[in-house]
This record gives sequence, structure tokens and C-alpha cells, in this order.
Amino acid sequence: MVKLQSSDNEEFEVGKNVAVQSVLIKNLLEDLGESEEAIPLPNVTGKVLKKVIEYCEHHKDDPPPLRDDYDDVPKRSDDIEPWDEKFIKVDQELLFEILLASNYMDIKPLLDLGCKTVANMIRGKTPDEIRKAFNIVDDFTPEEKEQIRKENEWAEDR
Amino acid sequence: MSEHLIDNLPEELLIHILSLLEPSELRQAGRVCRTWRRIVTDDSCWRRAFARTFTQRPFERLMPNRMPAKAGSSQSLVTSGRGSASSWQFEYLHRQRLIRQWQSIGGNGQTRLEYNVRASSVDKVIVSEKYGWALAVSMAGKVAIRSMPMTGKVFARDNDIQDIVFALPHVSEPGHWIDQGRASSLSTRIDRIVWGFDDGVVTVTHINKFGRLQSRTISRGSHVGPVLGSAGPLDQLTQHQHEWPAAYDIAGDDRVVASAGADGDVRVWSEDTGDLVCVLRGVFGTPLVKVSWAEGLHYVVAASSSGAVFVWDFEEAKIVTMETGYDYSESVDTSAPPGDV
Repeated sequence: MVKLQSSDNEEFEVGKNVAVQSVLIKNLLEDLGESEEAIPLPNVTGKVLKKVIEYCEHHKDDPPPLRDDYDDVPKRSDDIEPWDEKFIKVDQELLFEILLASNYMDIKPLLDLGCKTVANMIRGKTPDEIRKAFNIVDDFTPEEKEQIRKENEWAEDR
Repeated sequence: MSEHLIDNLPEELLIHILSLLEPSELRQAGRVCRTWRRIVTDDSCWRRAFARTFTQRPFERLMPNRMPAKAGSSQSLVTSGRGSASSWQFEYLHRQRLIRQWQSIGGNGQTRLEYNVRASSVDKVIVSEKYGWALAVSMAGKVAIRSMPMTGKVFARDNDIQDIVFALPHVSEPGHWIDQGRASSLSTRIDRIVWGFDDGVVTVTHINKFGRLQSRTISRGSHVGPVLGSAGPLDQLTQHQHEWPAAYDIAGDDRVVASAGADGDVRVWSEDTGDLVCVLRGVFGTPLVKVSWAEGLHYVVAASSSGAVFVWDFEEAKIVTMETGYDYSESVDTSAPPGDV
């Protein structure tokens, strides 16, 4: 078993096969050896870590992800498994925290899942709808707006 | 929502997310805010989009040393970033445009292939837009090669010889085949290639919807001398014909192909059994160079090298019309595609 400690000092005990899906933890265990001490994860709160562990538990028997090849073709974002889809159905705040945690803990399949989910939230929306959905400020200058308009005309008539 | 959550993501994550978008969506994303714009106009984003759309990187760049912007003021925004000598965005847009052209002319043989499949001279190209493959068919090489229509890459998985098919099924082991002579004729449609050979043999290559190939030679009762034209296959389910003529021993779901030979005969074959269904004799042994079906299976039309056009009633196996005096080029024109006469 491996102990993990969240930023708010919550401790979790998980099987090694669950923990090593995080490349960060896998490397730590390889470098430092196993110990009774909890591994501190100062960037991840207990709430998020609980969610991340839930994911790793479910996927502990999956084959290891393919190497991130230069020529590797990223998967399309519409091939999310039903369990994953249900798992990632969370509010935006938690979604982005899971993204950050999976990036920090280096859990590629979870990172991909999060990115696909965000991409799916962007897809099919107008720029205005995207800004509204993610609370993004339109910071273009009037000149840039004019350029964008021209550019789109160029793109349309192609 | 009080916080600008997405703005707190590290840029590498935002790049990862945005590069999952389709190009049209990328364009929309580029109009959201300055940060997003900078990301989606970076070429690495387009490179990933390219790889996803065309499933792999191109065999060769069609547009080296070209930059996307037309001119003037839009240039700075469109090409901001690396300033490299060639751009994935341009490559991407160019190939998208090619696809649109391809679709608008229907891949009808006027399409100029802009890639190199190394199949010696290419006589026909068969393209499935729906399933995204192209077959380059070469008589000289007696091969059909399946590739990505837009990247030109031959689909090559390990030991997957289905992607490169030699017309001759007499392959004892990959790379060794019995030479059957020169291919002397070729006809294609989306699901078939019919090859005729110098020694009178006809080979049919089946193409499935994924562009996979399988060849079969129908050689019993072959022509004397080269096969100069072929038609078909014609299957039973045409609008004109609901049953095979009773005179012939053809199973209900069989398909037939016709070949025209230098021996002056048209031969009709069952594609499924490989058996000869009938021989339609020409006149004076004039070499026949084209053959076609008409009105479903009712008639077989063939043109000769001397400018004569013969029409057989298929069921009766006899000539019902014969017209002479066409010159060769005209007779070629009168041979419509299978089933369309």
C-alpha cells in the first residue's frame, strides 16, 4: 500500500498498482523506495485527490498508455468510455482542478479525458458562446477585430 | 462563476485542449481572445489538427516554402509565431481545398494526383471519399496500391500485403509470382478492378469499402490472344433486370463480367465461380477493343478496332445490330460506362 497526503493534510491509502498510474508517484517510489511515510502532494486538495484516486482505481487494470510518439495521432474526442464520461461529469471548477492535478501527477489518460471534455465543451460554439461558457474576457483591440473580420472573409471565399 | 478558471490553466494544457478541435472549430476558437488566438495560429496546433484529420503526416509536403496569408494586413496575425518557411496551416488548408475539388469533380479520372505512390505509371485512380482511401492502379506494374488520398501515404501495416495487390493471384509467397504476361486492358469501378491480360486471361480484383483488395483469376476458357476491353461486373440487382436469362447457368447472387478480346469474341464470365457463361462471337474475327452492358443484361455492346459496333442480345447470344464505319476514336466514345448505355 502507498500513502498519499493532500495539500489539506488528508491521507489516502491506495494499492501500489493504483498509485503508480501517476508517473510522478511511480518515479518517486522508484527513486526513494517504499516507505511508511505518506507522499505529500502539495498541489492537490483532498477533494480532488479523492476523485483522482477513484479514476485510478477504476483503471488500475488497463494496459499502460502508449508512448507519446511524435507521430502519434491524437485520438478524437468523441470516443470517451461511458464510465469515464460519467466520472468527468463535474462542475467546471472541479474539472479544471482534475486537469491540473492529472498534469501535475502525470496521469496521461486522465489528462486526455479532461482535455477531451473541455474540447467538447468548446466545440460547436460561437466565439461569443465560448467566452460566456468559460467566462473569458474579449480583449481584442478594435483593429484586431477588424483584421479577424477580414481574415474570415478570406477564409470563407476559399 | 467568479473566477476565470480556464485562464488559470497552464498554456501547455490549453494547447493540448485546443489542438483537439477540428480546423473549423479552431478558427472559431481563434476569435475568442488574444491568448487563444496566439495558440491557434501557432503552427504546432495546425500540425496536430492535420495529423488528426488525415490520420498521419504527409508523404510529402505539397506546399513547401509557402505561407498562408494572402497579403497585406492579415499576414501578421495569420502567420504569427514561428515564422517558419512552410506552414502546416497552409498545408492543411491546401489539402482541404483539394478534397473539395475532388468532391466537386467526383474523382472521375480528371483528377490530377499530387502524390507519389511509386506504382510505375498510374492508369486509373479509384477514390472513396466516404472511407478515405485512394487506389492507384497501374497496368504496367500490374498493381493496385491503396493509400491515403490526401497524404499519399500507402497504408502499410506490417506484412499487410492486402494494401498492395498484384493483379495476379498466382502468388506463391509474397514477392514471387508467375508472370502471366502484360496487362492489356483495365476497367474499374468503386468496388472492382477487371484486368485483361495478353494471354487472354481475365482477373477480377474485389475492393471492399475500406479499400482492401482481393484478386481472383477467371481463366477457364480464356480468350485466344490479348484481352482488350472489359466490362462489369454486373450484378443481378439492376433496374432493368430481375433475373438472369434462363439460358445460362448462373446462380441468383452471381455477378458476371464481360471481356472483349483480340480474337473477336466477347466472353461473359461468372465472377463468383470463375466459369465461362457464354461466348458472344463477333464477325470476321475483328479484334474487339471495348465492351459494355446495355439495359441491364439485355444487350452487350462491343466496339472493334476497325470501327464496327456490335450489339448482341445476351439471352439469345446472337448479334442483333452491327454498325460499321465509325472511326476508332468515335467507337471508343460510344462505349458508355457499364450499365449506362
